[in-house]
Parts: sequence; structure tokens; C-alpha cells
Amino acid sequence: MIGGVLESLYGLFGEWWIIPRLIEMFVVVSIIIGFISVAAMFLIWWERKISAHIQVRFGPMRVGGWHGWAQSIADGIKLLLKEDIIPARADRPIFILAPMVVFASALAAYVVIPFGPGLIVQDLNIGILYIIAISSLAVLGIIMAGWSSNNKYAALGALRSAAQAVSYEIPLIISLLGPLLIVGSLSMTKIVEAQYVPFILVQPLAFLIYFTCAVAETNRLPFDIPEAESELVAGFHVEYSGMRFAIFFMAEYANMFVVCAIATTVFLGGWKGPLLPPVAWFLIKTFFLLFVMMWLRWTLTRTRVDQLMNVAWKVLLPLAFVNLGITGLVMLLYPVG
Amino acid sequence: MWRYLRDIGKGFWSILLSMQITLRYLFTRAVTVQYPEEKRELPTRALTRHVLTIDLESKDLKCTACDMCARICPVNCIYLEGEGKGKARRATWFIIDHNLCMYCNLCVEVCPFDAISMWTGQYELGGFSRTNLVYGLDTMTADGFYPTIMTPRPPAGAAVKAPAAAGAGKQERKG
Ligand code: SF4
Ligand code: SF4
Repeated sequence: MIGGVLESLYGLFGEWWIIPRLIEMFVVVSIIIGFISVAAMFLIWWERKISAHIQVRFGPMRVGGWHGWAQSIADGIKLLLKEDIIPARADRPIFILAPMVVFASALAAYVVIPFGPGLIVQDLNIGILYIIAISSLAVLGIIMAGWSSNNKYAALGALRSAAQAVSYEIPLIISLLGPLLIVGSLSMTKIVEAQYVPFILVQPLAFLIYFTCAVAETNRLPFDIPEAESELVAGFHVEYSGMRFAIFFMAEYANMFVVCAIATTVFLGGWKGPLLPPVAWFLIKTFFLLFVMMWLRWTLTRTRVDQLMNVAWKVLLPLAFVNLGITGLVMLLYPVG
Repeated sequence: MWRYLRDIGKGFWSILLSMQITLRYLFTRAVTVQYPEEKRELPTRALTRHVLTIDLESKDLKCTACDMCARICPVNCIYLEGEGKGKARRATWFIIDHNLCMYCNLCVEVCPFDAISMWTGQYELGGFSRTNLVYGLDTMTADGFYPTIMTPRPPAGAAVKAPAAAGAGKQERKG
């Protein structure tokens, strides 16, 4: 039906195909932003609930009646209504641009996430490469935020974030290479279709490395040194308030969703599963991974900077290479598999 | 090399163990008491707001306005005045400023006639202005505490008088 509507739109405008194309893009982006906002609000509420219950308390219980389900909405409205403070000596244009860059990079990654067969905005043939490239942009936004705030904590947080992202991106990409070798394609849809068994069974080591790096990439505990509250106040977003802060916050959760969606696609067999519709399977798997991420956050303590670098360069990277080497060897010996 | 691998394995294992612990806590019941809806049971002798007790026979306040409580109060939050001589002396006005009171129980312990008690179980003293917390004679002898509360929650059906005196005596000695 959607296809029919599009067809008639294109027919209507004839050689002015750019107009319906723009409308189409606008609608798709709106849907993605809507999805991100709802998912982020749910995740924030969920995380507060999980953290509370792990600490044997209830968390938000009041807003909206049932277990405080409307808490995130109330928080969002509160942040919207708050005064928007820009520090006097901040670098204004960059300060304003930074949250947008962070959010845009998160948003762009959603283009190639396969929610179900055919339910993908654009099945790029370089899907996974595109995601890796785009998600690296978030670091740029964080550095912009930290640098333009003109605040030593923010600058420190931003620099730490840069160091962390550079270190963890390498094992992350190499761990993804294992499954990609087996599939022989970078397209997200092809990766899912190639999984007769979820790749986590074939590549457990790669999954663990990927997941560790993903946690680090999204700046979450135990790897949250860029925003370590106890030493850097809040890291790169110290100076942000109101809606700009909310955008950072939302981008963090949107990024979490992206990395978990990639893990689902590459390692857990994407939308495949019995009985339930494909989209449901995809969301169940992704949200389970998100749950594991939150669970980890409330289990482990923050690592030191040197420990962080140790783990990346001395543990994850060699292991990722070993995994890649073994995968390549097995592929060479048994070319069919 | 062997040590390196063992360290990784150990680290991984300890993460799994700690995750198991947090998972167990995730499913234990929260200890939070949802206050306005559910309330915690007060300890039997919890110190809450004051009440002036009444003598069962004469239906009169026991307080003789001897000024002991006002003098021992560390924060000087009791103000009172009395009329009459000797045993007939009675308080004409008696004010406790609960903005200042720190619930130390000293006024109760010092009172020679067991005329004041803090075992009312009333701890929700919120108000919209400071004057709401200044309690006079009428509030402190309010209906809820009539005729007198000498022991916290006297068992139903028991004779009020005898245990009342005993309880009060005990309290004084304990202090
Ligand atoms: S409880 Fe302590 S502070 Fe309060 S009125 Fe009595 S003596 Fe004063
Ligand atoms: S309450 Fe007790 S101590 Fe205070 S004035 Fe009355 S009799 Fe004296």
C-alpha cells in the first residue's frame, strides 16, 4: 500500500521526482526520530527501574500511575521548559552544534538497521561499514562539546572520550570481521540471511569482544570515564542544560540501541526466530542485549584510564586478531562453511 | 603467556559471578515502604508529639504548671503560665513550639506528675506555616487522647488505672 501511494506521488510530479523523494525522506526520518524518542524514553525509565531493583528499591513509582511509566515523559517536558544556558565564554556556534552532531550520528545509523525482512530504510551494500563510519562521528560531537564548553572537566572528558573511542573502535571492527568473513557481504540483510545458526554459536569470542567494545563505545559503565561523575562531574556535558542536555541523553540511549541492534544482526540472527513475527524477534533480542548492558552497568565499577587502555590494547585487540586468524584458517580449510 | 590467559579467564569469571549476584538482587523484594500509602509500624515507645494527660477521676489536667519541663527543655520551646496555689494550681496556657522541639523526651522525664507524654504516635505534623506547629492547650488535650494515655497502646479490656500508674513509674525510672 505504501508502495502504491509512493508510486502515485512520483507519477503526480513527473520529472519533478525530487519533490516526492524529499517528502519520502522527510516521512522516513520522522518515523525514525519518533522511534528513537519512544525507545529512548522507555530505556531511560527501564534503566531506572532495573537500577532501583538491583539496589532493592523501587525507582520511579508516582508519575503516570502504573510504576511511574510516565516518568521519562515528565522529565522530557521538564527539560524542554528549562532555561537554556550557554556559558558566557563558550564557543557559541560549536557549543550549539555539538549535541546535534552527536544525535545526528546516532540517527544516521538507524538507516541500515534491519528490523525485519524488507523493514530497512536503505539496504546499503556496505551497511556495516557505514554504521562503523557514522558512529565514529559521535566522538567528534563529544570533542566539540567538551572543547567549546571552556571548562576543564568538559575538556578532560572529551579527550578521554577520544582516546577511548580510538582504542575501542579497532578491536570492535576486527571482531566484526570474523562473522563478515563467513557471510562474505557487508549488507545487513545479507548478514541476517546468512545465519542458519546465530553467529554467537560460531563466533562466541567475537561476540564477547564486540559487546565489550560496544559498551565502551557508548561510554557506559564500567567504561564511562569520559563522564565519570565522581572525578569529572559529568564530563563533556557539564555545561549543558535543558533541551541540549536532553539531546545528549537521548543520543546516548539511541547509540546503545544501535550497538545492540548491530550485535543482534550480526551475532544473534537478527529477525530470525520461530512463531513470533520477525520484528518482534528483532526487538526482543535487542532489548535483551540492552538489558544485559544495564545489568553490567549496575554490577561493575568504573575502570581506571590505564586499565581501560590495557583492556583494549593488551586483551581485546590480540584476542580479536586470534579470532580473525582462526576464522580465516577454518574458512580456508573448509571453504563451504 | 599462561598467566595472561589465566588473568583474562579469571576476570571474565568474576564478572559472571558478580552479575549473578546482581541478578539475584534484581528479583528480591524491594525494601522501600511506599510512605503515604503504607506506613511503617512505629516502635511502641516512639517519641512523637506531646500530649498533656488528664486525671481519670477528676477529669482535670494533671499538670500543675510547676515549670520544670519549661526549664529543662534544652531548646526552650515550652511556654506556660499557671494559676492557683499548691495542688490546686493549674496551667492556664501551655504552649509547645514544635518548630523547635527536638523530641528529646527530657520534659516527660522531669515531670513530677506524669502530666505530659510523648507516646501519641502522631508524627505527621506538616503544616503550611510555622504557626501550625505551635501547639497550645486545646491541641495538646485533643479528643483523640482523652482521657489519658499513660502507656503506649494499653491492651484492650485491661483496667486502665493500675497499669497506667505502673507504666508511668517505669518510664521515670528508666530515664
Ligand atoms: S522533648 Fe525535649 S525539646 Fe521537646 S519540648 Fe520536651 S524537653 Fe523540649
Ligand atoms: S507538664 Fe509536668 S513538668 Fe511541665 S509544668 Fe506541667 S507538671 Fe510541671
